Amino acid sequence: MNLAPLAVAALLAAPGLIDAYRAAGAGAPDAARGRAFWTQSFAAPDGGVARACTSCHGPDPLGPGRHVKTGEVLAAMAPAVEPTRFTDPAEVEKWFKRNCKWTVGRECTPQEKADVVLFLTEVKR
Amino acid sequence: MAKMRIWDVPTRTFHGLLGAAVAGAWLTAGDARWLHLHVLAGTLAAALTLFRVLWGFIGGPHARFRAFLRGPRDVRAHIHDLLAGTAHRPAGHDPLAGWAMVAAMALVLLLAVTGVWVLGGEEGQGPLGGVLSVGQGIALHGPHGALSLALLCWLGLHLAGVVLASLRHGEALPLAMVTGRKRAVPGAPSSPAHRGVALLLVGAIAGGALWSARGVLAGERPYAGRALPDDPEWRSACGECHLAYPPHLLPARSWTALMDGQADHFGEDLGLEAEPAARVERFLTSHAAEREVNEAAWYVAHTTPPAETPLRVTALPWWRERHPVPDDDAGRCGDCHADAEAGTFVDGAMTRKERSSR
Ligand code: HEC
Ligand code: HEC
Ligand code: HEC
Repeated sequence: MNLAPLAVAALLAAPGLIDAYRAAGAGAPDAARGRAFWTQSFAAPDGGVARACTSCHGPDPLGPGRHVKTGEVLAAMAPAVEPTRFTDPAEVEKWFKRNCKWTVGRECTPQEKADVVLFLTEVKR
Repeated sequence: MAKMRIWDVPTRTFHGLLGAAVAGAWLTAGDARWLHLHVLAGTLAAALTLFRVLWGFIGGPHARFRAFLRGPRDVRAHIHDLLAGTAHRPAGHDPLAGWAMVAAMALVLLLAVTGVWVLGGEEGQGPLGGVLSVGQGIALHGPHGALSLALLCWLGLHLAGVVLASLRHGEALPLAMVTGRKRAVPGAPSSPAHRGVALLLVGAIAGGALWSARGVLAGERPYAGRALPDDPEWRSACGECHLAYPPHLLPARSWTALMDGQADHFGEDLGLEAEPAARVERFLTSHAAEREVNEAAWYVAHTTPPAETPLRVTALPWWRERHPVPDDDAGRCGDCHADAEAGTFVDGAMTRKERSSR
């Protein structure tokens, strides 16, 4: 399968997303802040194991993750290895909404989303 | 002492191949990974038996039913003679053995008929595929197994009878079933060999077996399970955090409850819009267990207490009975079932058998 068009789409889509977050009030995105947010642990409301984005997506954005509750294997988050990432804005919003609610206990701010997207798209092999 | 041919070649060929076919069917029973071989062996046994019935009318002098089927009075007299030790030595089957042959043929044919029935009902394949419901197929699974036990008991009696008769006649009767020859019985006709018929029989059987196994030889998985309904919207809504659990594994009321509770789905807010959620719910409920698309669905529909609305496949009594696995492992269906994504869950696709723990 020829993945080149998808890779191009990813490169185009991520900036498009970031533009949208900026339009929604985010300042300049910062990859280091994105990394910190991605790996930060949040206390679980049920008193269980603390939660982080990496609980399911794994510590390495270039490698696969494993859903902490179901065991389902999740594809890598970095568009460098998974070109379909950040190509479908509706999909991205759906998962930000779900995952932020579960992990952080609230929806993520446009700033947090912009930082995370920049961090993940910049990770190179 | 002069010997004469009693058993013609087709009768001996029938006997040897039937023994092999029955052994094959017995060894491949009960494990769907071998179902194609089981069906092949059963078909072979039935075809051989039908041939033997025909041969009972047109075969050699000792192979014909006329030569060995006797009325009740003769059978009683024979038993009496046996007990008194005065029974004469027959050329072919004695009256008891004759009826035992008929019993075996009847058992094999009944096994074939019930087998085709179960195959048609449970797997939707064979001549009755699509005609019978899954429940109808399951209903004859027990009797099919009981018949096979009856045939095993018959085999025990058969072997005992052969040993006793061999001792009584001072002649190895099993050997006679191989060479065809027995000590001459005065006045009894010798049988022609009929080699041509035996050759035809073997040819027809080899050809039939090859023809019926052509799919397997070409690499098909013959009993991969019935194709199940699919829906891309359901797969994308329900297949990203875990396996998209196929609709036939829960009753419709469970799907309705799960979709009603989608805002608190095992601690997650699925956040589906009303329209797509309604479409997914329609797909799930209209293909739920009650439709009985396959055996698993039948069991889910018939063993889940009607007053309960389980929200987990892994909480179903039927599922728990078949899965003595720790809860931590239970959800990862794909670890053990290579066909979990397809939803068919056939034995043929098991990757890790945990039978030892059962
Ligand atoms: C409970 C498990 C879980 C946790 C924790 C989690 N995610 Fe996810 N995430 C998923 C699943 C499942 C998907 C969808 C499957 C996939 O795309 O691999 C997903 C997909 C995504 C996507 C969609 C990407 C795309 O374009 O395909 C984004 C963005 C995302 N997650 C961000 C986050 C962020 C940010 C966090 C931390 C706040 C987080 N996730 C924590 C399970 C999780
Ligand atoms: C955001 C992630 C997510 C999505 C999307 C999701 N589920 Fe789940 N589902 C879960 C979690 C988490 C569990 C609980 C896993 C556990 O505790 O083992 C679960 C469990 C289940 C179970 C019980 C599994 C068992 O143990 O037998 C069913 C059935 C189920 N989900 C159906 C659905 C359906 C139907 C959909 C689509 C409408 C769906 N799920 C979408 C996260 C999700
Ligand atoms: C640890 C291994 C393992 C896991 C995990 C597992 N199964 Fe099974 N499953 C088995 C075994 C072994 C059998 C065969 C039981 C038998 O032969 O009666 C089986 C049988 C089945 C059957 C019945 C097949 C039939 O023909 O009767 C279904 C349906 C099924 N599993 C569904 C599931 C689902 C759904 C999941 C995930 C929620 C799952 N299994 C997880 C091992 C597993």
